[in-house]
Amino acid sequence: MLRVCIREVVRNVLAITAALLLASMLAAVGTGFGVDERELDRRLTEESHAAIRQTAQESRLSPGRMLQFASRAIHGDFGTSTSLGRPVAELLRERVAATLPPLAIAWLITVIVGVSAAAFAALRPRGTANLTLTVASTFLISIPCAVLALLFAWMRLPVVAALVAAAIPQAFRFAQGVLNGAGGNWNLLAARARGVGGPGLAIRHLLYPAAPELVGVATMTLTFLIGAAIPIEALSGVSGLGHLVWLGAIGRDIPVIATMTLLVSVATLSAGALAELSAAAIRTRRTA
Amino acid sequence: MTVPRLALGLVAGLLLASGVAELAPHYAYDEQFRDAIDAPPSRQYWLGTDSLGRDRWSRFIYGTRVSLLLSITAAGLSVVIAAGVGIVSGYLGGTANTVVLSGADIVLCVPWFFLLTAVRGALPLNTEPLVSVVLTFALLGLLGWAGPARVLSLRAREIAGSDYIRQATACGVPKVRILLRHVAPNLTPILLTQFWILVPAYIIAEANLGLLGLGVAEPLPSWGVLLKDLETAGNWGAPAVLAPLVLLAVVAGSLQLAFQPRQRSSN
Repeated sequence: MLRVCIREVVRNVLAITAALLLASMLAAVGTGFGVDERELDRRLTEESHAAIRQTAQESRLSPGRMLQFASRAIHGDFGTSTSLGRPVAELLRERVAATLPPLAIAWLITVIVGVSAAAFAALRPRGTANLTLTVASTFLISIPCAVLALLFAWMRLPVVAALVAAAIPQAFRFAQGVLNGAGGNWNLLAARARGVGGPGLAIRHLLYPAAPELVGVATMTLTFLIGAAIPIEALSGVSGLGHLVWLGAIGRDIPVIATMTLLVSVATLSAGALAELSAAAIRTRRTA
Repeated sequence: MTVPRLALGLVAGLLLASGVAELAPHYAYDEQFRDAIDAPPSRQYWLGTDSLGRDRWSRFIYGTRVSLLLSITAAGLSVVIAAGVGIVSGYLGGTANTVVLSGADIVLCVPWFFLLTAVRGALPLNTEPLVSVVLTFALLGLLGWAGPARVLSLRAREIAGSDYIRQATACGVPKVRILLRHVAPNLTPILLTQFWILVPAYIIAEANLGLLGLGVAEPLPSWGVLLKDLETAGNWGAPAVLAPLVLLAVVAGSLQLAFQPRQRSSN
């Protein structure tokens, strides 16, 4: 257990450092990358163009600039959005409430429904239900999240519904990968022979033994949901963090993109580490 | 006929059809007919015209070709990078393997679509349509190496420990020759599977990017660009507008169904 903890801490410190480096690099290339669109604006004076070029020159990728972003980010100062003209930290505070509750609700629903469906399918390995669920989930995965966002916006359904619809097939497939083949496990066969059936069989003899891996499924679903929130929020018109990422990408707003890269990396890595530790704790408890 | 063959047949058929379709009556993908804005399907315009008066059928043909061909190219790029990195690190083992696996883990930890959006956002958007196509698919190809590299590295590690590799090493066969003659050929089936797993992922990613205005630039069509018509609420009932979505779902779904890991019996 201690070894797992140490390994996870080291791995995450390295990963977060890498994310910080990537974010700093993005921030450092910032407005200096390529040609600034404002240089093409004829309404600006020659002095303004010169000032833009000067800023671009000053903001070229340099270790100093990267270090500056990293040290500021550690203290919660993520700079000012170039497209929205406001501090990034302020934008984050404003938008976090529009993203986190729907994301949390969607995550909960997705994991419960996806894992239940996968358990249902795993208990009927050769049944029509398994085949139907597999084929349906595969084709649902093939519908881009952005299209689902438009469809749900057209149907005037909440953003949570779009997130759930996009993530359930993924969660089902992740869980199916874990539970598939478990239908023939000796403990399940023995329980069936004893006459155990229904939800009891699924919970005690299928899901419980696979709990450590299912924690990983929940984390992967969360990671997927974070990515899916970008097109869904952007096209549903929800002013959340996903929408902010999209605005940042459209406006080449590097402070926003860099900050979100850093925060998303930290969030997903922390979730991953938590999942690893939980799985290790479950395994340790079982072997003890 | 097996499911993978059917799926591959579908993709090959579509590519062929999008090539042959040029023989049928069609217009340039950016040609505008200002007297036929939003025209319904007719003999002249098989799928009608869009809000700018462009023939939907012609755009559909070109879009299918752009999305399919470039997804395949991008998947090829990813697999080549993954093969180079994964096979060498897996065969060499030690620090090289640890570094590659950790790097792949870090890339895989970040949500794929977030990574794509963030990096695409850092690149210029006001480019020529052709440049935007290259940028979009090159980005997909360059960022998608982690998953396949991980799989290839682990398998290469297994092969490196096998008896015939040990014998070859004991006989004094150079490492490069072992890698090229003994390790790499054994990984070809995995390489091909990874390639076909990436193709639908890239088709879907391009569609998402296109809908967000971060993919292929107008007037060049792709499935992502064509799906932008769904932003107009009234278009949800129009079969001509839904055609790219249906084709995308069928192609991506068939490939995913064909190449997803088979169920293994634990007995």
